[in-house]
Amino acid sequence: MSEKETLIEVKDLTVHYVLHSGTSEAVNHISLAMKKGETLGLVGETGAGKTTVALSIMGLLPVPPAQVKSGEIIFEGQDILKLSEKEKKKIRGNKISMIFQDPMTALNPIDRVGDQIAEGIMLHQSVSRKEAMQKACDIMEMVGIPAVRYSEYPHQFSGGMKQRIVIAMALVCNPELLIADEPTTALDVTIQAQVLDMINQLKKKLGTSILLITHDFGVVAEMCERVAVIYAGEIVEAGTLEQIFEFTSHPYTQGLFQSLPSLEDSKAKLIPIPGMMPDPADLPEGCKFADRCPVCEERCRKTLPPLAEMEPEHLVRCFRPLKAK
Amino acid sequence: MARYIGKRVLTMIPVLIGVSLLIFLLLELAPGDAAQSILGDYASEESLNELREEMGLNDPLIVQYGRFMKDLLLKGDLGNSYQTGRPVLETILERYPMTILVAILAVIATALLGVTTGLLSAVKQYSWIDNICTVIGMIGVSSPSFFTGLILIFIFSGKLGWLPASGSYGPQYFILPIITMAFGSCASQMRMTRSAMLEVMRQDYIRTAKAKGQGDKKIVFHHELRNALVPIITVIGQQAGVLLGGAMIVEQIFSIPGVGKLMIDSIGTRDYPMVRGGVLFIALSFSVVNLLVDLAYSTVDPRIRSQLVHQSKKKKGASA
Repeated sequence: MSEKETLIEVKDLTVHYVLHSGTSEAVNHISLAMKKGETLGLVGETGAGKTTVALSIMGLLPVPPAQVKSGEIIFEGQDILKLSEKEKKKIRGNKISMIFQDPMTALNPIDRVGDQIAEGIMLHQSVSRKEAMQKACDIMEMVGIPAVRYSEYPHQFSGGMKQRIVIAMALVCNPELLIADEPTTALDVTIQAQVLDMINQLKKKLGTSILLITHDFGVVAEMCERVAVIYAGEIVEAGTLEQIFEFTSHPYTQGLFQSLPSLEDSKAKLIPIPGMMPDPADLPEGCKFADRCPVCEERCRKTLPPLAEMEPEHLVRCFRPLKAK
Repeated sequence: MARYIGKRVLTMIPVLIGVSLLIFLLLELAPGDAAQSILGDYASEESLNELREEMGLNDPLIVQYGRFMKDLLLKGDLGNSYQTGRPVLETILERYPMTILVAILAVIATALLGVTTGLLSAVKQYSWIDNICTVIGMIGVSSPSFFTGLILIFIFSGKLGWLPASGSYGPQYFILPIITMAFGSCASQMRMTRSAMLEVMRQDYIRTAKAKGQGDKKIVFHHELRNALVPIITVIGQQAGVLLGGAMIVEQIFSIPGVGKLMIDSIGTRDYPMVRGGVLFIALSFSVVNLLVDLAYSTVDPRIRSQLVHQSKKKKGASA
């Protein structure tokens, strides 16, 4: 891989949700780095803390109950977490934008879709209303929606079309980083492929880096150059696409692969990972995956394994990694 | 849209017929005798009977109702008042502007006060502003208007002498009645605004707007309030309907010569034609307000708008 400039760096991020009933440790000491123009997949099951990481980068954590306990997010040389609300607003939607999971609810039902796209342009660029509308029309065409539908309302569009509008909204200011939080989960499979393909093309065209949040390894294989697997608020394995797919080292990552249906071996049974992810309000002391791990040892329950480098860029948080190259 | 309005106006007719039938039956069940109340307690049985015969009170109910409807539909006549002998319609039309004026002012005051406080308590949920608004709102909703009205008269007319206690001779006469009406109803307006706003604030599209980098003011007024308007309009409509029917108690306390006071007086003197006419008018105002509310929904929410257009298109297609 060629050396590229680092775009954003999340360092030792810890976010807790403090509620009356207890503290939920959603994200614990996560570090990530993304280079310009690359697509990083953040993979994990529901509740693993993926969205919390995304919202931290956007500065949209619901405070309260969320509290950033430690860490920094370096973007363009400054720590986003320390910026004032006004400075964050200048970045949001402009340099970093986000696509949310459910396009059905992500659009304001009483605003014309074109106006919703133009809204972002008017906020971040000094253009007239007319120019903003023209730009909105252009980007609508780019995501495959005829510009004549500018004046229509969200309820007049199908789910896939709505997601295209959401993507248009996110890309309209040509952001450096696009955070896509499960962008295709709420869509039909056929539409999923279309939307992913479109995101890929737009990425090439605009040079946007993408942080793709998903639980679907199929999507990861199609879209990402690097992958980070997150479990119970911690990164358990990270590396290039090849390292993760060919040299799967963490038992959890392997479990995820085994629970995917395979086309090559149609007789192979799916092996689900037994048990449940631990309650983030009551995390175990040692390795968070210990209770579900097939190769768990005594020490796994007592001490948290460090995120060790198996080979350059390939990090694994396990005392007994499965495959050393 | 015109088609829809036309349809709605047509559906008012059966409602009004139903109301007229109901009020006819109810007045028949009510104790007392119109002839007696006209001639007084010492009238002879003969003269009473004569008058009843003359007024058609001895005819079967169905005949009386038929006569009433015939006059109403063919001549637009609601009969004459037993008390004054003047046409009912004329009297009501004379009194109605006063009720409309007071009602509109009270609705505006309620909406302004209720929506502003509701908005504040939603945006600053659980803050001291929210708590104060809630407490004042609870007091407002639990004080009946005769109580609020009398307290206000006691303070502002009696003790301070700032405002007149009764009558309707100038703008200052309307201040206390309007405050009385608004105080009682703005609590429900405030609670509805608050809960509608809180509901909208949780929606994904608000997060989307924030993710665009949109500012707080625009988010509250453009994205949140406009989406919360449908339930807010519902409450405004309900209150407008009630107040247009004549805020009977408030009009009585402050001696405002509106329809509400007219109704109370007419019920007291068993002036049945007047009561019937008044009730029909109130029902009509309710229906009109309901129609206006539905039209307001469709201007606020494009989903409702396209539903209405779709419905009337479907009807057109079916009839073609």
